[in-house]
Amino acid sequence: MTAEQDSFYSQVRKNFKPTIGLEVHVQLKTKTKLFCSCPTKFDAQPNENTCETCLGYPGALPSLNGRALSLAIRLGIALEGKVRDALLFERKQYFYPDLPKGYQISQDKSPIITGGSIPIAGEQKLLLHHIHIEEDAGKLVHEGMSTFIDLNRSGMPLVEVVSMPVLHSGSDAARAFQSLQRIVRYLEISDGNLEEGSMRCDVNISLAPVGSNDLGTKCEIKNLNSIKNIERAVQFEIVRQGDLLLSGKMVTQSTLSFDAVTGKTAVLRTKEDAKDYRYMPDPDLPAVTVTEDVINSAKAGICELPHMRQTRLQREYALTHDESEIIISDKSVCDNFEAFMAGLKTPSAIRTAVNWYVVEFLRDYSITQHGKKEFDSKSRATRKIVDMIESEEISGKIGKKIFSELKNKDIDPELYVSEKNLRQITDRAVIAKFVAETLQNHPAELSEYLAGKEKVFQFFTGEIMKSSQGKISPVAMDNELKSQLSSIKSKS
Amino acid sequence: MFDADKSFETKSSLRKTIALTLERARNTQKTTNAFISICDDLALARAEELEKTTINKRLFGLPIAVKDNINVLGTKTTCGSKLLASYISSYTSTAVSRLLEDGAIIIGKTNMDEFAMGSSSESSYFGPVRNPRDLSKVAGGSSGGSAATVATGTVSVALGSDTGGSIRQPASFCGVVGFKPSYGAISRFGLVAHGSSLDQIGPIANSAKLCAQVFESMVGLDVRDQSTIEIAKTTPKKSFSGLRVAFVANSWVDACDDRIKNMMRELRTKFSKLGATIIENIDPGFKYALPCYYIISSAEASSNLSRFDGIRYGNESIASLRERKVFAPFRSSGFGAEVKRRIMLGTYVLSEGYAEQYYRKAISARQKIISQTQVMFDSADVFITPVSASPAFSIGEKTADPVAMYQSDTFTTYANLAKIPAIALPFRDDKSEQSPIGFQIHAPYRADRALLSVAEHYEAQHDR
Repeated sequence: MTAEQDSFYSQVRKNFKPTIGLEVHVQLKTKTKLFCSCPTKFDAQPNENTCETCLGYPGALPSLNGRALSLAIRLGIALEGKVRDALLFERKQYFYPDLPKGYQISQDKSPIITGGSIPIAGEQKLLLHHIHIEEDAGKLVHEGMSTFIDLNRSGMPLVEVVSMPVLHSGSDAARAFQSLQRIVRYLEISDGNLEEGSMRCDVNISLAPVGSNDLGTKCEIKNLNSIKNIERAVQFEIVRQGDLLLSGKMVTQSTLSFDAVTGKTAVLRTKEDAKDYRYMPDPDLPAVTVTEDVINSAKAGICELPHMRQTRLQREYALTHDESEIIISDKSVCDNFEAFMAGLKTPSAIRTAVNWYVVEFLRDYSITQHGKKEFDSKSRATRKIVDMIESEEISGKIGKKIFSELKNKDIDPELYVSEKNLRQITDRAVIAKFVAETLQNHPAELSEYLAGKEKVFQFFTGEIMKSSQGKISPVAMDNELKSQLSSIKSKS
Repeated sequence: MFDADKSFETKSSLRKTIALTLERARNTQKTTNAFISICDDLALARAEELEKTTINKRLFGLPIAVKDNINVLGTKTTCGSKLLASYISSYTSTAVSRLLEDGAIIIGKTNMDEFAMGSSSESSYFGPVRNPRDLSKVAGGSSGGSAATVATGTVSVALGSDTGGSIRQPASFCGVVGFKPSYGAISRFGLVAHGSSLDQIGPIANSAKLCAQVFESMVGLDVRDQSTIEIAKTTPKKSFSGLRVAFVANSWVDACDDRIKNMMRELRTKFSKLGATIIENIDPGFKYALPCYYIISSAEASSNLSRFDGIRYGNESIASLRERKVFAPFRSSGFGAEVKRRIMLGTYVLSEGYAEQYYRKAISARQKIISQTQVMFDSADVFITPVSASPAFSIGEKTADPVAMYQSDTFTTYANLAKIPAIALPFRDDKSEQSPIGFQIHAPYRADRALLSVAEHYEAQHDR
């Protein structure tokens, strides 16, 4: 925002309280579609992943993918919602070229999950209205004057997470979305990629005069494609709606799109075009009882949620907030980090390891770039380096040298250290010899030092390191150098 | 007449027999218009294939005609509609797959009311079906083609579908047997939906015994249809002694044709003579059946037919997709008058503000019919009603008056709403050769086998 926008934003906020709710579509990570056995793979040719059911051929019927139900319930339980006793599907009816049956199988009156909440930060939560299961529609592809229909996406399994309108800022909306994104990834419910459309975010927002208990007229912004854009779009809408209201105009209830380039919203349709979806129970999918078995299998997939884990990691490893954010962002990284830290006891060892992990390891390695297998193996090697530094077998400097060698080839740091004879010299007698030889070889510098030029001390340490090829333990060397220098001083 | 007891055909002559059946079908077509397509190549290829097989199949070589709303791979499945006039199935329905596995041969696809909406097979885009007993009369509907082809003896069994009587009423009008199983007894996968919560595939045959045989091939759970159910096992009825037979309240019969009234009287005597206990004056909710049926079936139909939007079916150009001028023109020209009437009715009863008044009320009324039916069967084993209030009417007689046409479904819609099995059997009187009439026996939900065994026993005692 420009400074001008910023000050106008403050003016709006002084007069109006924005209220925000989220509707998030999450594509469930199943091998097959929601109501047929077509594969869900992302990179298929147009209309490759289709059959009579997801093409809506006459006479074809849906049959429910039990895995999708289990994942939806898993999310509901993890977010502490209530699971409905009976599973019921309804038809949401409208005509659109990408909707082959003329209706979408969804849930209106009987969502599988009611209530629940998304943790945001600390005690802050976004309360949920419900979570329901539905099938996705196909996709229209416009090329020149032609429009093509790709039905690979038709029948893909989705849950829609619908929040209550209880947030009051764009940043909270963005954080709530990010939290949900992490949760679905941790629970392995979805890939959670906005870019690939496996997660889609709609935001509704209204402004009411400060102090009013009623909500204003709401607008819905469709398909926000990044966390940053959620925040930007909400900010823009607060200003746009505030401008209307401050100048005595009304907000028209409408559905909007957000242009990430201009940073502005545009009207897609207004309430006058609102459709009557003529919901009816889908007679092809008779109600079925959600059994204990189904609930238990859904529960089995629930792990420690990211916000809980973040709190625990901060405590156990004394992480800073920023460090914990980096580590928590990906469950595989988090798992890897905890494996990396295993067995470390003392605060100093833990700090050294954390620094190595966050500063060195994560700078050079990522799962997306290297694959999980290599990421894990390099992480184990790095831990060996940290262990050798901690036990003073090698110096930090040598450690970094080995770490950079690691990038080019698969090496076992321990073997590498012994083969290359890089083990740190800690033997007092050997160190004394290196120190004595260096002092003998530099009589001029020694005289300077004895004359009171204390800076020469650093010259000696550099020379000793050089002569030992960096293998001398710096602490032991310092001590030995100090003691030899002081004994020379006292003799002279 | 086809004898279900004997092996259907000897292997070596199968192709010859099927060629004769196809010849008969063409003759039937000339007089009755019972077929939309006759599948010569498919049937002969299938016969040749069967001649080579060594496995003993229970329906070996049995020629079957299939209603044109049931998908059979490679055949046209038009549903009697202009809209699907050139549609060729890309898969085979579960019911037909199971018949084929058991050795049956599909010889053709039969004419029907458009999208199975009608009671006379007059609303077909391919012209009305004529009743083989009297060519000036309708064959009944919507499975009129299936009933007519069985009545002519072209095939001994054909598949129909029954949403509110579409198997039983044409069977009755044509003087053959028609069986609507319990809802969910036979998979609907591959049956083009009309009213999904009411639709059921079933056989039309020249005997209850053959109905039972063909039914056993198709029955059972199907992973591709979640509404399929297990039906009850039973020991066949060898006598009617002690059988509790309920008869529909006279108030409903009083309005019927005299021959129907007479039939109901004589049936009491017959069943009673055979040792059955007669229970009089039963009404499990007929008053609600017709309005309830037309609301629910139209609501579901309006939804089921949404997929015919002009994007994927028919020959119309879709060049105007961008101007959003595809759906309405295509649907306006593709659907016939009766189908449009039901789509509008169904859309209306589901609309915001009206759904409570109509659709949801009909759903509650249906629940009431189901519970009253359960109560009725606490004290009865079977329940008997006429199939229709009158014999087949003349072609064109009721086409101008849709309500009169709907009223002819009073007795049949009940079984679909109650989800129970019902079988229509012909009743012989002095006029039945030219103008058949019939009655139906209902049994409790899932008691299909018990019902069939009652029907077979009745058949064995009469005019066989």
